[in-house]
Amino acid sequence: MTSLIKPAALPDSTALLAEVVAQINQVILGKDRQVRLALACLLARGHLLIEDLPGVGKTTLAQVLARTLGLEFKRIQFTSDLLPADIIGVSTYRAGQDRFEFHPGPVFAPVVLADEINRATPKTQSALLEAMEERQITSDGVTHALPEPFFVIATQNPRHQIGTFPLPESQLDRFLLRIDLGYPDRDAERELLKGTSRRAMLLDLEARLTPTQIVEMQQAVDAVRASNPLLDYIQDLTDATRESGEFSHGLSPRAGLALLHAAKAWALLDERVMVLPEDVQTVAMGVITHRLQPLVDDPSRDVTAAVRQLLDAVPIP
Amino acid sequence: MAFRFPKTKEPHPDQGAFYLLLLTVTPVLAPHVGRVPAWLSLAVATFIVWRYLITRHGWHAPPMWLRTGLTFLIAFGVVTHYGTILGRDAGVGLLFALLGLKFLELRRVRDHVVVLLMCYLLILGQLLYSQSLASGGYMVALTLLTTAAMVRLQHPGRIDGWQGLRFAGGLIAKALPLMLIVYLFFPRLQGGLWAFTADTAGATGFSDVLRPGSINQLVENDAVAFRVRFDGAVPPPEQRYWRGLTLATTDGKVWRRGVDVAQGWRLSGAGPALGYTVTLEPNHRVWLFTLDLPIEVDPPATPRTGYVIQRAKPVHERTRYRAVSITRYNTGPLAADARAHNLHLPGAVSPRVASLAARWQSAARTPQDIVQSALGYFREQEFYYTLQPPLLGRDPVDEFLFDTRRGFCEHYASAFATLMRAAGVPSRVVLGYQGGELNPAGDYMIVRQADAHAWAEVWLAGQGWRRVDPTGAVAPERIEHGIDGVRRLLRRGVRLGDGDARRIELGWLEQAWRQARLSWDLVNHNWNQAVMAFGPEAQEALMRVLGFRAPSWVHLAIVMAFAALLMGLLVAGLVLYQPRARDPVRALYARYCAKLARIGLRRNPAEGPRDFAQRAVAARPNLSDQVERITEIYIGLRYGGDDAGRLRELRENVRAFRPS
Repeated sequence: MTSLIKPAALPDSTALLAEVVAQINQVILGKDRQVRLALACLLARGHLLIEDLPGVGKTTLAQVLARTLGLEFKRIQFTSDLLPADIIGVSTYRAGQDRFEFHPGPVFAPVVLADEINRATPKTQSALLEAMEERQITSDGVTHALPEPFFVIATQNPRHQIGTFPLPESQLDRFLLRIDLGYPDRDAERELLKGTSRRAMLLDLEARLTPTQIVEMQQAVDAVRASNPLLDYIQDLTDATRESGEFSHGLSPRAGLALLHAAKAWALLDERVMVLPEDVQTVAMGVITHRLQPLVDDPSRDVTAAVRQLLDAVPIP
Repeated sequence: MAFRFPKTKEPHPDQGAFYLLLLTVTPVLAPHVGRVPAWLSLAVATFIVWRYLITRHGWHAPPMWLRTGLTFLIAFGVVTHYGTILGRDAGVGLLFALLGLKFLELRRVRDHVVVLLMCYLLILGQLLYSQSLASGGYMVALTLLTTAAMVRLQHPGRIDGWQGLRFAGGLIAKALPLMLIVYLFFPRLQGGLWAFTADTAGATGFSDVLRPGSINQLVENDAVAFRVRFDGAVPPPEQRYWRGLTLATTDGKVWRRGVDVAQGWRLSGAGPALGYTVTLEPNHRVWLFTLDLPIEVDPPATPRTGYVIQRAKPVHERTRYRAVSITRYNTGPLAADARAHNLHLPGAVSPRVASLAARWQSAARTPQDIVQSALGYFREQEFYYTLQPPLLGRDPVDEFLFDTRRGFCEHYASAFATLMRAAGVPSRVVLGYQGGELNPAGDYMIVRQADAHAWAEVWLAGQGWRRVDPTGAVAPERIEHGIDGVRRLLRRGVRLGDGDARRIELGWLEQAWRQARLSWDLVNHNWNQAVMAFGPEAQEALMRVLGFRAPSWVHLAIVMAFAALLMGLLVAGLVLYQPRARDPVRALYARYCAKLARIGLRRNPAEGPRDFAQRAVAARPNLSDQVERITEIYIGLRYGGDDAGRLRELRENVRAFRPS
């Protein structure tokens, strides 16, 4: 994509983003868009939900992201017997000092991979989701701040629903973006087959950014300009979901805000200081589809197709 | 300690506001200059110049004691001049003076505001003098200017005069519907809102006394006396005698109305009847003008002695009436007392006059011969028609007939009537208008004050009263070409009086001027008929249309209030409803898209500018430079908040963009 807009007034580290993307793309082959979306999600201070079959590289993506960004990475495999304490940590009694000591759980890592989140019980799920929202853990009346940046990548398997607890709509809303990775194309897959093990490659990856730079860029996202015509466009889109009749209910104002944030982050990734309607369109599928339900009386309708239609129909003001 | 208002720091307006105020006040004062006493005009002019010098050259402002003194002096002067502070002239004079004084002490914003508010009042004052179209246009222009000055004053340094004018225009436009409602529904007073301003000083036209010089002062007065629209063909010039009133009493010098009774009359031997509608300009007189001789007038008025029509009330406002006249008539016999009245001459007829009359009487077989002798006398002797007759002394008829022999219609008419009476023929003088200018554009006739005329009537047995115009015998041009032709001939130095009518040819410039004058008169006529004629009757008719069976002013007030409210809401709605203004950036981008559409690259409404640019470049790589440039500027302007300076760049690029 040739950049028509010259970067201006962006943090210097933004220039490194291209390297970040390039490095990740060396490992995750043929998934440039998804890689960028994942990065955008991080920059927008959101959390990512990857919905796909096992074996397409969800874990690898999370690991590559963490390594490339120079962030510590923890993986939590969700199972039906996982307890909240397994995620957030436990307080144990220190007899000698006559007090409880908090042992942070795996959630206290800047990048957390919550694998197969729908296998855990709702109680455990909500422990994670609360942490995602609050960015802090309160245990025994003591509040522990989560690291900054803090980025949760959750995965769920859309098929095999037996013995799972699907995330309720209100919880899905906590994820800024939902993406699917899908099968790699033929060339990419061949490359995968021929090349070295992804695991081995991971070890060679260098950190391209420091956490400070990431926070700096997260702040820069907020400063990306969204002009009135663009806000008009976002409002037109949310209005359209409310009036289209395709969905059981339209997008919430929070969803509109999420759309704006994601679009801003996408613009920053493109080294731009302003949001374009194209940015909104690019992130829209990821931001919108998991927040909408088809009409109850016609569950056969495909939300993705309906959103696609909507994006093609709502004129850019 | 006494309470004192805290002194507020009110800003001084900038110089631009002052100059705009100067530009406003001058034309507001201008039309009144001729109406107020000269010393007042001079004083106010001095104040304005003084104030100008203060701003321009830093002169000292007049101290408090001087301003106070001037105020008392001027007020005293105005009261002394008018003898009152009530009434139109005194009121306008006072306002005129106060505006000048206030202008002199202009300092702060509120002084400017006061001056502007006084300007509005003085503009309104113009209505008390004229309600013509031209005056109305001038008033509208002044209102616009004053409002612009007010707007400019309230936004110091932020808007220029033009923006002020535009804004003021918008304000006035918003007030137009309200104006229309008030025009239609404000209860109209019978007799006109301004009727109280009517005073005889403003009366135009002649009085009901004929003395030498009473008509020729009108000769240069081109004001319209009335306009006539004929139902059928327009009568020829020699029949265009507009009768106003007859004068049958004379003391040998002055002719007066005399015995005057309300009476009906009967005419016999009537020729074809001419119907016409007269729109009479206000002249503050009671006489209605009709063509010789009227048989019907509508609305009805009182017929009086001498076949003249009198209205109950003076004509203070433009009045329209219909009349029917016959041009061939026989008024029948004359009663003995009337005959005596129309033969009466005071004893003091000079011997020369008496002998001349006696000579004609002895030579004549019939009274008609006497009339012919008299006309022949005027035609053959050295009589001249002039608008500057020499002054006449104690016995004007004698002096005129035998010494000066230079005169105007009134001289000829009164001398002729006197001679006739001396010769035993009943006679009288008729005052009215002769002639009129046909306006071909509007198919109506304009009769001006300058067309005022005096002629004579004699009573002949078997024929009744006959019109005799001795002026026609001396200067047929007066009848043929009207007063306008006569003035033209006299200006060329032609002597009128040898009895031959001259032809008058107009130069092209005069033609054009005449044409323009007539066109303007048509506009005015239509204005009068359509706008000014909307009086109580028309208003009542309108109310009946709206469904009021017996409309009163209460109904009018209710309808007006209701309509005003409705109109107010409508205007407010229109003002508040602002359709998303089409901004130039979008418009230019739309133009660019339209240009691409012409070569088959149509933008999907949901397609972003960059996506579209990429598609366009992919399809037409040769356009890539231009497309990318335009898209970049557009994106910067629309989404990046670039300053409007790049708009020009976008415009130039889009203009130069010619995809093919």
